[in-house]
Amino acid sequence: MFASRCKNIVRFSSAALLALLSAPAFAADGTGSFQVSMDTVWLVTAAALVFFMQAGFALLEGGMVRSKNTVNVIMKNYVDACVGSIVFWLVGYGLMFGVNATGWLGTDHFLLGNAEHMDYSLLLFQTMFAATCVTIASGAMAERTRYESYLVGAIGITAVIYPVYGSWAWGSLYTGSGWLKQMGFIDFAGSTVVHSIGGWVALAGIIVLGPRLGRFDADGKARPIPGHNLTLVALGGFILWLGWFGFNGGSTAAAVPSIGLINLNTHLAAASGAVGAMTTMWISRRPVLMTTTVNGSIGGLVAITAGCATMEPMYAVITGLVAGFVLVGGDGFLNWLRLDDVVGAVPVHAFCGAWGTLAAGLFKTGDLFNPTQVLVQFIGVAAGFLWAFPLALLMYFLIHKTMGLRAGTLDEQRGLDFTEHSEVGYPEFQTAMTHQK
Amino acid sequence: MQDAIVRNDARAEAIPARRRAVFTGLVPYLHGDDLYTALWLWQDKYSDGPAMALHQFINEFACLIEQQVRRSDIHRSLVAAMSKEAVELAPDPYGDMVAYRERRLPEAKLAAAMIPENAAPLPATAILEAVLRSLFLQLDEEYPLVTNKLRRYLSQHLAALGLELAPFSELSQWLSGLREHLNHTYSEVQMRGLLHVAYVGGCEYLGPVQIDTLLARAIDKAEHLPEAKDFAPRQLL
Repeated sequence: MFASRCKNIVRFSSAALLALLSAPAFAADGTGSFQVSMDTVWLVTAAALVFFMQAGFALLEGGMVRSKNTVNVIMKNYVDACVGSIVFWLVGYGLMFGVNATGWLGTDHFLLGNAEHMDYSLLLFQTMFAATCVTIASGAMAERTRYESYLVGAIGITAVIYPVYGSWAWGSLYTGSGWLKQMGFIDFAGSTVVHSIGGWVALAGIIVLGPRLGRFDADGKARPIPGHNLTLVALGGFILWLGWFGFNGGSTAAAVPSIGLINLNTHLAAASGAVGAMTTMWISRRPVLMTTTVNGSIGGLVAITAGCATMEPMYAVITGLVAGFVLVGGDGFLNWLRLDDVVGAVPVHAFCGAWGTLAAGLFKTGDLFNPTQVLVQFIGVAAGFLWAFPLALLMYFLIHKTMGLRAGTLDEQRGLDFTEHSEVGYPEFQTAMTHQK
Repeated sequence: MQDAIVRNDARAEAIPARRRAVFTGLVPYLHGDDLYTALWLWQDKYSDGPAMALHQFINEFACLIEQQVRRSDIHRSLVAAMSKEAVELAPDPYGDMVAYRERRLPEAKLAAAMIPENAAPLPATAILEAVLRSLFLQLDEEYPLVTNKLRRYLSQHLAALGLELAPFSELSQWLSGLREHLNHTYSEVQMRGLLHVAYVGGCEYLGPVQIDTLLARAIDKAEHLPEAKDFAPRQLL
């Protein structure tokens, strides 16, 4: 019964595809072939999947903060997507993908208009990447950052920090090429370009901000400040995982058969990232936390992003597993440094991104463990750190000195939902915990 | 932690600048008693509030004063004043505000300074005392080593609250266990400031999760007192 139903579905699908192939509409308007149309459909669908990742970040971060700061962190994610999109269209896309004669910077395609259809599709897709990069800092800096100051930082990231590095690794889509790209740097969908850059910015942010009130005791030991809703965290993790199929699969910018391998690698790395994180927690005799497990899978996803198109599935599993170890170790390292990263964004995005970029060089199909390629990968990782971290440090320092980056201690007590937005996330359930008018 | 206190001090220092802006924004529309009523309302209740509380401030003083005001004009004027440079603002009206209050309320002020310990406290003071007492009792039960540390911490930071001599002395004695009850009148800003210092100290000694829980319980308990009908304990948060 089931087999016959499957056969019918296959027959129907084949007929539909045949009818689609023979339809004259695809070539009639002179915009391109069926393949171009398929590419566009895939790219725009992938862009929508990457956009959905914003919801994943919002839920993950919203669940990991205390209930009195939920609205604030979700607002940051929401507005990152809004402000980031506009700024990236205004300047970011041109700097990143415009004509790049020097190898250091794109110089045109600002305020893109009157362009080819594929340019619009690429801008849409890349806008979602920019929004992903900029929103990484929000979780790390949660619960004590002033909203307006954070948004100024977000503009700086989307307008300068992210696109300039992106032009080195991915520029140009038109004439010229970035200097890292010329060296043969592999970062297929942005382990470094998107994630490590966002992670280094987050690291700079938490250094300038300092830890939340009472996060570390007098001996420097980290006190747990649990998030208010782990269900949201898990749901956010699942949504990010789903969105990543668009993030990595869409980076082909074309409807090609390799999407299968790319998304299989993506899935395996996410799964093994979670397993790696759990194993590390077991070995080190720590409680197996759900938040760390979810972060492990995201660490795996971040790590595989660079090499998902150029390695075999077995190496994707190794990349993900190691990312799980890196994540747990990185988290402990930050605590040891007394740096307060609320959601673990720095280990997940910066450290796992750096590892994944090196792994892309180590596990390149047909050219395994080539030291020259690994060196190029290392240069790319180091360049990302040396560009993004000091610049973000300077940016946040200037914001701190001029506008004030850190919310006051009374705001921390009351919760940023009330003090920054004059509303609370759960008005019916927070009656005694938070200040309300 | 020192940083946190420095930031609190910085916040307190910003109040005169914001007061000048509020004065500059109100002065074209309000005069005499109405102006000082509005300024004192801002000083006592809104000076440490978020910027978006302006609407609430305007609505509240519009109910208190006698003359009819156009709230939208005043709101625009206040927003414009808030964005002005310091040199463009009117001088700080605090001296005149104090003189006004002394002129209008000499008897009340005198009485406030000379309240004996057995006098019935105002509802707000009773609530403040109940919340602090409940906080210390919970600490005694759950974290006995922290109680005295927090009492000392509060005593050390009383000076930052800008209290006059009599209430300062009363609080200081109460925290040291030399006085049974609080009787003085404290402004909302001062009471909130005191509880906030307790919160910051609690964060340092216990962590934010524990002090949040203890404070929430203390507020919850105070809400069952008869005085809570006249003064909502949550206003202290």
